[in-house]
Amino acid sequence: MADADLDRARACARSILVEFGVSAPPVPVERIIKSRKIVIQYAPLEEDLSGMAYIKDGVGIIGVNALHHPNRQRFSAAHELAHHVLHAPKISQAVHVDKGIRVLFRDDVSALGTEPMEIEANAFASELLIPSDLLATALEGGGVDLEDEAAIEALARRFKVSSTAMRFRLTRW
Amino acid sequence: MSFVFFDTETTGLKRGFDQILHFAAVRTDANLNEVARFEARSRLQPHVLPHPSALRTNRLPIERLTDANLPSHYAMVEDIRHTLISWSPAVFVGFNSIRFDEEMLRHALFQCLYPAYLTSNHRNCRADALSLVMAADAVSPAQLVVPVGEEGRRTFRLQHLAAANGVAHARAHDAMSDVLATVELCRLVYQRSPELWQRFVRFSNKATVADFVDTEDGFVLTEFFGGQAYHAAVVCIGVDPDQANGRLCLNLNQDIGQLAGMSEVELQACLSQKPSPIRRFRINAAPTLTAFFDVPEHMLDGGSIGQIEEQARRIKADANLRARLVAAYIAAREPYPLSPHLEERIHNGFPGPDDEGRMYAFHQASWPDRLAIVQSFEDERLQWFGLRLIYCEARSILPVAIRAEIEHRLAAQLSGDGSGCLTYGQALAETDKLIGEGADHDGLLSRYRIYLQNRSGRAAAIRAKMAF
Repeated sequence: MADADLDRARACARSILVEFGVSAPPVPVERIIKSRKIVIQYAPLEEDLSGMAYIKDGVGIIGVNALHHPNRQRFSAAHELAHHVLHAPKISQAVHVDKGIRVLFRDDVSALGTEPMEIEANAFASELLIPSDLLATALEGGGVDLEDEAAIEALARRFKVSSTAMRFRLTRW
Repeated sequence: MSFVFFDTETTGLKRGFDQILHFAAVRTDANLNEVARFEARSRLQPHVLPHPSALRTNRLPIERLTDANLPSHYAMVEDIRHTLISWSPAVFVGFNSIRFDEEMLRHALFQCLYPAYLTSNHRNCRADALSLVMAADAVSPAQLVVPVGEEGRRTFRLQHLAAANGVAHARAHDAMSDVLATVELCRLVYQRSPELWQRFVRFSNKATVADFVDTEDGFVLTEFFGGQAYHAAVVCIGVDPDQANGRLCLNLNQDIGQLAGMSEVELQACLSQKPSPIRRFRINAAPTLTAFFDVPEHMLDGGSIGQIEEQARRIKADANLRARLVAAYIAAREPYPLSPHLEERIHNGFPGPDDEGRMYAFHQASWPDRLAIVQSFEDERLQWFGLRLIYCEARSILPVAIRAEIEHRLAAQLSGDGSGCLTYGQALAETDKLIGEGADHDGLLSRYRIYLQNRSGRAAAIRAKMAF
């Protein structure tokens, strides 16, 4: 199994942000997904299921758990977009082989980031929702204390992501 | 996880006073395939007089409602609660449920001393299939047939919609039959208008609605009055200070410069016009919202998205104007008076934590121990509902004086001024009216009339006894 290519994942996310002209948080992830002709579907899914990505009849589809908090939904949508952007050949292959539908679940395993594809998707989602340049602007040239919950929550609110996602992003800042 | 479709058949339409007689629910998976179903019925409570129109509509004779073999109302509510919690979290959907069935269920739970907001708590979401069908008709009218009713107007009644769209609906106004028809109508929208279905599911989540209205530079709000859809491009200007779930939005067809230049008095006069430029909705009531980038042109009333979004951004950036608009709207709004009836005060505050503990303890205790718990409630609503509940379920444990006091109070309500529950006088008058109109071809109303006469006669005797 090949190692995760995090640089490529983040570069793809940045390229999409430039293409879409995003200049301030929060990043309009649903608009970005729809502009790429990918269908986004909301459904009440099992609690441990955040989202899914698949291709059906040649149409890219992203499923998001409607019962989750909207910030978590945004991260799930961005994560599933990553699968379409970064892993399309694999999805297409699997569609052909796997009864017309290839499903990639964001479950507890991927949340731990143990699969290369999931690690790449998380890196992509993190960069897409919390872009480096917008984060730098928000931090006003300074940094943030990872022990300072209030500061992390304030940043998370600004970018419309969960505190967990913001902390994940800041660990590599 | 799943959807839960549900429906109630009741003794009438008066929330807080009428009761659920028949409850039905179907649980489906995310693709609307049925995975479980549930039904429960209850007998009539002694303090409720069914509206004769409800008996007629539901085809329920009074002798069936008073059948001692039926579970009590408390037992039914306990059963409903247990099932719905075991099915949670889910998206709860009914036909006109946000305005009616949800409220009936909340009142039933609260009056049985359970937390009222089951379908909003337990990580549940809620939505209304009537709004979905109306939105489908407004956005893509070719997808569903909306029939014309007897009065020559388009009708969104479930039985008419079902018939016009080839949906099986064996017994209109039977709770399970109505649920199955609602599921089938939703399947039609799910298959024919997938975009609309997605928005419907998405905005069943209160947190998602709050996030959406806060984040977007405007959106289209669709409201329904008299079966007609009205679309307005709006921007959120703030939270309703009187209700945390309320959001106030400004219609973007307004001249912002003119509004900003108005005095407070002029603003109040402008905002209290009908229809008001301020639109209010609740984020927990599954509003029909559409992002500008999903909006068909006809919903923008000739405006361009770019111009409208620019207008929205201008308002969002002007915190002072937004605050003035909210203040003026609230100042001009008619205050909502406190009801004299405890039954209508369900939304006037949550029970405190100590009373919540007592509510829990009540259900764990034996009937003889429950009276002391009820008497210790700080909340007068819970005190009264608790006493009434014991009277309905286990009146033999009540001391004679308390029992007499409850009977006196219930008799007074049923003979009251008509501002609360349906009274004997009102029920008899309505029954006579329906009989006079020839609606009693099977004798159902005549038998109900006899029941009412007997009950009111006994109540008069009790009142006379109390007077001595």
